[in-house]
Amino acid sequence: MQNTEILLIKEKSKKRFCIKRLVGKGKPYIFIGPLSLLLFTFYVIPIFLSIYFSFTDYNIIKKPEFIGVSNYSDLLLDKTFKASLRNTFLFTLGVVPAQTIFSLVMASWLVSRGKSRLTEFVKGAMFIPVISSMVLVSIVWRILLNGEGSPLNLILNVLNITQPNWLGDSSIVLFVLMGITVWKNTGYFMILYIAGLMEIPKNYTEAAKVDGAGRWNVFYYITLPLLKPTTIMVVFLGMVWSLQTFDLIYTLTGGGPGNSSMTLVLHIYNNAFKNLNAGYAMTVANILLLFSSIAAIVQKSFLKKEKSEVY
Amino acid sequence: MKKQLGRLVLILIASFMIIPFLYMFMTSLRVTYTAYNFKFVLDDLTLKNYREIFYNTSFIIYFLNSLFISLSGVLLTVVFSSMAGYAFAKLEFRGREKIFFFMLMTLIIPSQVTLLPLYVIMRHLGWLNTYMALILPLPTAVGVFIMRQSILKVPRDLMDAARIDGCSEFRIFMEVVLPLIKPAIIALSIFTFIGAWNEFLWPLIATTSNSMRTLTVGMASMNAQYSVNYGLVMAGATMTFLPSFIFYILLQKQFEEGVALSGLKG
Amino acid sequence: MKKILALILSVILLTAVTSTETMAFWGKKEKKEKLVVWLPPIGENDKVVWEPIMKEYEEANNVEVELEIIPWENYSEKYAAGIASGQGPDIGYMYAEMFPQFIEMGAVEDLTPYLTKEDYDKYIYIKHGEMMGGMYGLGIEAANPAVIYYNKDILASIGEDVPVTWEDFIRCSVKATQDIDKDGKKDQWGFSQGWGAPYFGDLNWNWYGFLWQAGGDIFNDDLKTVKFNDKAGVKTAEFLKDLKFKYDVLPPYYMAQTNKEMLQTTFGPGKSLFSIYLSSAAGEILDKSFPDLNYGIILSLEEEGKGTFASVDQLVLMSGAKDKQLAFGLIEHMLSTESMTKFHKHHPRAPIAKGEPYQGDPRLQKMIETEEGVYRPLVVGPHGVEIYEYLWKQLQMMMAGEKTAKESLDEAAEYSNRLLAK
Repeated sequence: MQNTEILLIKEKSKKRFCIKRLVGKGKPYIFIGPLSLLLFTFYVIPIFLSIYFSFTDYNIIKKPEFIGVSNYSDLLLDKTFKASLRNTFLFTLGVVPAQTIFSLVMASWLVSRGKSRLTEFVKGAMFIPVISSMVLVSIVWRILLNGEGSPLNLILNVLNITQPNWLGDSSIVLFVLMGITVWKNTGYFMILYIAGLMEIPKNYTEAAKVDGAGRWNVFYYITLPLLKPTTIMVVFLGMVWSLQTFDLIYTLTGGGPGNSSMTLVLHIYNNAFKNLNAGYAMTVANILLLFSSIAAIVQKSFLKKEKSEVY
Repeated sequence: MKKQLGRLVLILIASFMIIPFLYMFMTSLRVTYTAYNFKFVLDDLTLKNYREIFYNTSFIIYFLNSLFISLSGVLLTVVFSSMAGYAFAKLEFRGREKIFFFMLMTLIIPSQVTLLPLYVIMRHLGWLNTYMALILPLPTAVGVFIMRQSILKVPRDLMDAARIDGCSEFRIFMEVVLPLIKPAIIALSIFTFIGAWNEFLWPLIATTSNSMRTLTVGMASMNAQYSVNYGLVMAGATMTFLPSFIFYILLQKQFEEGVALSGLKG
Repeated sequence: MKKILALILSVILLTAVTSTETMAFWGKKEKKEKLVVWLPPIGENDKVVWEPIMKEYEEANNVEVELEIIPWENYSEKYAAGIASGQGPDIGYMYAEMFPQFIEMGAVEDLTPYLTKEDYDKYIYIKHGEMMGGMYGLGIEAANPAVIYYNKDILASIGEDVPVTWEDFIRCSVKATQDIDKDGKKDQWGFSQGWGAPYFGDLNWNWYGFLWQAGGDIFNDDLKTVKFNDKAGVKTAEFLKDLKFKYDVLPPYYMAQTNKEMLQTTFGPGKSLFSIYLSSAAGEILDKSFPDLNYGIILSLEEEGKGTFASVDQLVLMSGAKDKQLAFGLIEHMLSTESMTKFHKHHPRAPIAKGEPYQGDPRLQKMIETEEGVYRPLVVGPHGVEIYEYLWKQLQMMMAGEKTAKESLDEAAEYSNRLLAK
């Protein structure tokens, strides 16, 4: 009996020891628990729901009816979808390089001028569009683009350029939207680049200059490669943001004229909340998710090459 | 000469950035039933629109709602993200890299994909048209990313010393780590606040009653009537813009630090 | 650090405690029944006007009435969301395009059992509540037709009279399109029509009236197919297209602006002969912003007949209402002669209930009272929102020069018929 008692006590103390260790092991999970729960509930579960809904006929109010892949076959016939696919691509392809280059140029320029009241003012001014809401920005831009006496057109008149039909010409409306997006986002990316530029040790560039390298070569062969991680971040964020552009287009053009500025995200919204055809909306949404994932995976492979510590 | 030209161009660019906001502000000081009122004269300026906004009780409700939601969102995000960031940065556990990766992956999910399912989930939980629905989805993976980045920089020795002293993990977190990452916390708070403040689509569909509406939604609605005093609309827009603007002016440095933190490698 | 935290916490607590939600929570001790009413902003500051009217009903029936003003933008989406979440109203305001979706869902109550014979005399626009086999609403906002505004000075300067037919209209527009300041560019336009609206609302002015004047319509009687691509429809579309591509009487930025914006940028400042929009814009926009403008109003041109769009928006009883009789009583109260008289005092419109004095814009009075057959609302048909949205986009493409009239109408018709067949 004594032996078993001792055995039992040993077992118990092992358990207690194990529990303590478990709790010790569990602590990290307690730390990441709350956030994980939120992210899982509000991001992961919706994805599964979205996939489920894409196989149903659902109008938000009645119960969803299973209809197989009929939504996906409707996609093929949907001309608006095709237009939105094309426009979303074009939009992203236009915005990302533009804002990357523009922000890089501005960042280099401001850094090269050194700290001064002017540079601080410019930095501040460029960031103001970033902190405002896109809805507000869209409402004001519509007025500025449409009004005869608006400051924008006055400037054009001075330069003797005929005022283009900003929002009415289907061949340029997408560019106008891209322009406003670049206007809004560049400040943010410029700050990113400035931080990146500040991290480059001065002796690298000094040494190159001493060796007789011209300014452009210094920039191209030394600065630019060292900025690669920043650039990857700028491009990635830029892509993600532009794929999700909604407020701007919804407020400014509603996808028009015709379908010339219709994007995937707008098409999803119209189907889900205007036409009350939620099942189909989720089908389109899944396509968008597919593209976003591809973009993310591509970015990750670039980053891996850089051996950055980000992940 | 070149320097002068450079200066001019810079000033032009900066002005171009802020023209829409100037228009917004100028129009808010006029009573005008046409939006296309670009007069530069200053003789018809009035504070009438602002007065009407403040007496219009709905605006105050919207403002308080946005304020409450944004501040709560900040609290929620900072607390949860810093905890998680601490674990990812300093604690060893199974699946650490994998889980972090998945968290970051949630960033690529366009909100329109999650919008409708989120709506359905909230309806199921009975949380539609409540603060819960507006606050809880606010934290994103950006928070944990920034927190992890800055906690990585906290020297190990400080924490080990505390551990030897017998401090529990949680106390180490609260009393050693947190004070050291203040700039990151401030930056995260600012970004979260502004993001929450400017949210439009989700509050639009998640709220059905006037008492729950946020400022962005309320303001957009003022613009959509058949005939309207645009000065009033712009005044509302200015009021919506003001908190973010003030935040920015006061904390410009922290802003820039925050942006930098989110972009730099380790 | 701690101080900031404390500050944030206290602000949150403060706003939480004083927010209206918690206030309502603390105050929720009464056991009165509650009626929720949803209205869009019909006038500029409605809530103030409705409150005393609601109060009368509250006191007479010991009930609490909660009025929500929901913005026009996304009005139907918010409505759907509200019903879906079980938080819809007891009484709501609906316009024609919304009805099909909600009737199909069974969200709107058929009013036939609630109405008495007298009601059919009392409410002037009651016949417009008949749709899709039932009686689904009582008109609350009506007789605000789309009208053509014309600039009297310009008309006089080209030596013309007020146009009657499409031919007159075209002739006047062509004559009016000129280069006034002789700088080589035209700056006065015949017709400042806007095709730049982001959503289909502008069909109200740009399409329906002209379609009806040509003798066409949107739906076939069985509501199972559309007929807007028949001969009359094509004639209408070509008429509109020719205004730009044959006669060139539209301003160059016609694709960028809505009709409301055109009123403000072009017609108001006196740069165009004709413009088209709501009749209420006369008092609400033109008089207030352009007091020197000398303008007149045409209700409708005449081709095969006359016709222009005037929505009849309705108050509806929702199926989700708990006490339907009580809710219906509120509808009747809101639409009563006394209440409507009070409402129209602040918001000049044509009378809704019999016996109500005319308090609308005096210039429109004769037109509204004598030409009642000319202005009419849309026929309510299934999938209205999707069909109109698609049609609008196709017409935009036509006006942009990307398609012929027939192509765009046929495309829209194909889409619509496919939808209706489901």
